[in-house]
Amino acid sequence: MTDTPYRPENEGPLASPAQIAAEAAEPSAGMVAVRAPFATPEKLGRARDMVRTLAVAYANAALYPTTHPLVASSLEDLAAAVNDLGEFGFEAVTLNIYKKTLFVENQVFPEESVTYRKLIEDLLARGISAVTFARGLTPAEGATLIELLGDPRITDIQDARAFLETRGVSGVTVAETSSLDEAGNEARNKEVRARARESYDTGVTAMRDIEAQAKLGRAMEVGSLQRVVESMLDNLLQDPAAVLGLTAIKGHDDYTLNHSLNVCILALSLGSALGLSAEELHSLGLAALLYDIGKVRIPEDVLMKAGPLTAEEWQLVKRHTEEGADLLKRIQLADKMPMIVAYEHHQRHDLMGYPEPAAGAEQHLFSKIVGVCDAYDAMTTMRPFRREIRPDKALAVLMQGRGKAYDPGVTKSLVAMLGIYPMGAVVKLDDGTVAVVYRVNNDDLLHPRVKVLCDPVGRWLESPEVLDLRVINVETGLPVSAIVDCIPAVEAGVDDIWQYL
Amino acid sequence: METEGFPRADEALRLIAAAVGAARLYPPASALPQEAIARFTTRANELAASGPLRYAVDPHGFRLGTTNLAAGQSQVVALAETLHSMQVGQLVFVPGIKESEAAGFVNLCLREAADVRSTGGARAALVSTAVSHIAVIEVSLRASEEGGLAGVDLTAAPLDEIAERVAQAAAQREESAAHGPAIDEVAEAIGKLEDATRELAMERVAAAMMRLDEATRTRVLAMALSADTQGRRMEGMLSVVARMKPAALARLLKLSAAQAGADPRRIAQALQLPPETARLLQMMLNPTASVEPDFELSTTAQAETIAEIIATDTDNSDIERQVAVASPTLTSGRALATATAVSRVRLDLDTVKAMGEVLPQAARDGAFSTIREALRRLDEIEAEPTLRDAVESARSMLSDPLVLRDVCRSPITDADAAIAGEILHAAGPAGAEALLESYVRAGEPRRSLLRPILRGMSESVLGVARQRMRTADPQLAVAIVHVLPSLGDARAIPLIAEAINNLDEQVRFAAVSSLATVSTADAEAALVRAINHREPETQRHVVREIGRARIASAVPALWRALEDLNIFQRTYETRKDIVGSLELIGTPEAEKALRRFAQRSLVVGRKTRELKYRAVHAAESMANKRGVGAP
Repeated sequence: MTDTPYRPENEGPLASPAQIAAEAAEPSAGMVAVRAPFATPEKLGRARDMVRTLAVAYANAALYPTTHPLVASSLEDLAAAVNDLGEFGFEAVTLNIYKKTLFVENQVFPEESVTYRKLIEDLLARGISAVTFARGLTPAEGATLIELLGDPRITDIQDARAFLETRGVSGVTVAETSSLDEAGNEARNKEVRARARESYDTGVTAMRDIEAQAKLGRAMEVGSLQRVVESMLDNLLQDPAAVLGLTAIKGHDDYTLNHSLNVCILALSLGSALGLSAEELHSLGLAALLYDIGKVRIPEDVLMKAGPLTAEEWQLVKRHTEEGADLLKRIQLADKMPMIVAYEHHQRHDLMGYPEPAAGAEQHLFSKIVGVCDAYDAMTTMRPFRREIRPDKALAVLMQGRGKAYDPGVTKSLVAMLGIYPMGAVVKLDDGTVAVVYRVNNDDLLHPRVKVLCDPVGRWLESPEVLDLRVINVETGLPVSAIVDCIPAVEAGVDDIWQYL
Repeated sequence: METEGFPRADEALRLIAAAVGAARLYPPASALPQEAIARFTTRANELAASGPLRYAVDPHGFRLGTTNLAAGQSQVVALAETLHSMQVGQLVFVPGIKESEAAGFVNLCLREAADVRSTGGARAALVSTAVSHIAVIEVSLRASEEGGLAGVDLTAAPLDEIAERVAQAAAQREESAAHGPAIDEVAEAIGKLEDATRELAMERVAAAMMRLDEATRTRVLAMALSADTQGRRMEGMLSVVARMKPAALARLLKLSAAQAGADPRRIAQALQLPPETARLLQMMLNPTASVEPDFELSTTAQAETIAEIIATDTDNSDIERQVAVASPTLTSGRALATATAVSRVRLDLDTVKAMGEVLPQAARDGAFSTIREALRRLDEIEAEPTLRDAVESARSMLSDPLVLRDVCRSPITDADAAIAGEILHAAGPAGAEALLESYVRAGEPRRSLLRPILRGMSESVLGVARQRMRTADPQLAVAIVHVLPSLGDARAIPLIAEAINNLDEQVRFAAVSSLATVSTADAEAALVRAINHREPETQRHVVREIGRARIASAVPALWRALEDLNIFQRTYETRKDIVGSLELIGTPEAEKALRRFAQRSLVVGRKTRELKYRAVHAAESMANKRGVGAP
């Protein structure tokens, strides 16, 4: 017993996990990471208001003198709309024009792209592709911007900037390239992509070593795997798409190794989207690499069998969860999540899986994450005994299984993260071209950015062009291109998807 | 895999760069350059055995894909600069390099770049010196000396140009095949290339095929497969097709087979495919997986439906709760449950150790039902002689004072408390100490959980209490004294009574108050004895507590104390308290004692008179309460 002086008001009981959870379930508790800049109807409405007030102010200024009350009030509305967005944490908000389509930040506004065509054209005519409004914008500053737009002598970005600068405007800045233009990001993305690929390859080597150690019954040294996870997380923070794109690497020789890396990447991405902390992500990443290690104890001819398994063979395969937990109990780590996930990952959300869970037990969140990512990657990978399922169908299968095999919230978050048409999915566009999904647009999952690979008659392009399917044809108000079908990469004759991502 | 070749590509570069460097530095008579060339030749053949080594030449270095090789190595940089100045864009090594070829390459590097460029270029220079297993591809669109494919250099020309020529070659071959032995221009063009560039050329032609539209591509394959009058196919084209990427090849085969009404696998047999490609191709020619029937999916588009579901934010289940408790630091119970489950599958020393490792944290986190399972399992495992020590060691992990402290703080249900009690009991004196300390510090809700445990461990707790009361600070001793009655153990009374003689006044007071709460003869007797306590304030406290507790058996002692108090001592307050207590006790004996005091004839001093008056008043009040008049 301690000898510290007794104080009757000393510490109370420890908070139990259930109590922590109860506090977190309060309505005000943090939600999962917002996926699009204006993810709620209210935010979207405010963004829309900002665009509308700008267009209205511009239209009014064209009709009336600047001293007219209508013009003055519309400029006040514009300033108010910008400042309203500030209440949601937007210290600055940018209006982007990309291929004559209007975006606010990275969110497309298709209807406004058609309705406010004149505004867009006049901005482009002034060499302006992006306008940033700072919180605290004044009506006078808005008036200066309107004046700029109405001045036909201004035809390039330098003149536009000078115009604003000489009039002391600080609440508005203009740029000639929009943040949606790919070229500016290309060099940086290339570097991250190369680093991410290096981490991936290092990870495969590290996993190979771990498997060898496990097969020989030696103690597994997981330090190298922890470094792989750390490296993946670093890259994920810098460019999530570069890391997620690695899951398009489907190694047929080293299926198990590539599969573990892919599941790790998917799990880390999903965990990050759910708002897990850095420490939790490290734990999740390691668990996601090691969850299937128990398969080293299952005979390979059973694992790779082409036809249906017999009852005995199936029982043998199911043991890999317990065998994995047995192997992982020995690793010298304070964090026991790898052992737990190896054991639980096939128990299913409805606990109808295996091994049979204890009464009242619940799968840990990490086990659910790994379980759903495992299913997705396995379905989308070609095996000797069966072809792959195309990504959109695989996601549909997962959605079908939510509430049963898969946790509903986890499944929805995975689909929202990957997109309806995930990165690397091969799609056919309405003009007959074949493209690969290059980046998902979180504000519009049905209209991703794609790289066109070949033309309607099957000619492969020398330099695949990036198309943002959100871009609107301002004449018709409809997207310029649309996806009509998703096709398996092999059917389309596409190899090495990763090189296009 | 891209990165697997880096070390070997690196090594080959360094060796050839060293050879060139040696040739520059040392005179021709020196053996060193030749030795360097020999080293390169031997090692390069080994390194290239698993595949050609192809380097992109940059102004100041070499690349493999996007990775810079041998960065910062001055000899390698010098070599790159030399080749770059000769307009070389690629450098290729294939197995079969002879020392004479390596020497030829080294000699090329020693020449002036302008001279090389003006006399036909680096590639021509190598070919002219019979160097075929080392090749350079120049960046200028120079056709090969042998004319390439209709004048198109297959190693450097734009793919679109090659594609056009290939299609023409196939068409021309088909025309000639109808009349006699067919002309296979592709085979001829490739055959004329030096060894080091042949593979590269075929791969480029295969890539160029993809620049054709699909119909033409399919037609080209069909033409290549058709036999001439001597039964020969267009082998050059087929060898190129065999180098197409697997998925592209699979699609081409399927389209061709569909047109011909044949099985794509049979067409594949006409191609001499590398084993790896053949294996992949077989997988790719399997039918596409159909998931709709297995998973009850609609065959129509799912995308819009899923997008709608995603857009509605209501179905997030309890994901926030799960995220909140996801931390690995909160999973000790789960880890213990898993380790226990694993012990049923594979029982060994490591399993028991694993359980022992997790037990303390699970106890600290209050995972009591899991702990109970684990302890039961350890009991079962103990029957195994080889594991007995390990089991003991695992159990002992629960004896850590910090763990035991948390065990006391964790329970939130009676069931949990019961299991916590088992753990504390098993830990012996350490458990009792942790329990007592937690109990004295806890509020009533927690005390109500711990009380049954406390009572169950009263003997060991008393031992700890005795020790602590002697050594602990007064505040703790006070708290312990207040807690001791909760034990419900008669053995606590002497310990409390002992505390009435504690050096600290607060402890003495606490002991007195504590005894007054216990309605047993022993406790009352201890209090009665304490009426004559040597310390006046303590004495007064005893008297007051006796009155508050209405201890009737104390009346004689109180009377004696009232009588015995020396009138020359300052005992007014004490006697006043005695009078007050007698009044509170209210028994007839107490009344009698008061009247006797009141009837004393010798009354000296105002205070004594006042006391007498109080006694009278108290006696009358007691009589009135009983409904009896004063005598």
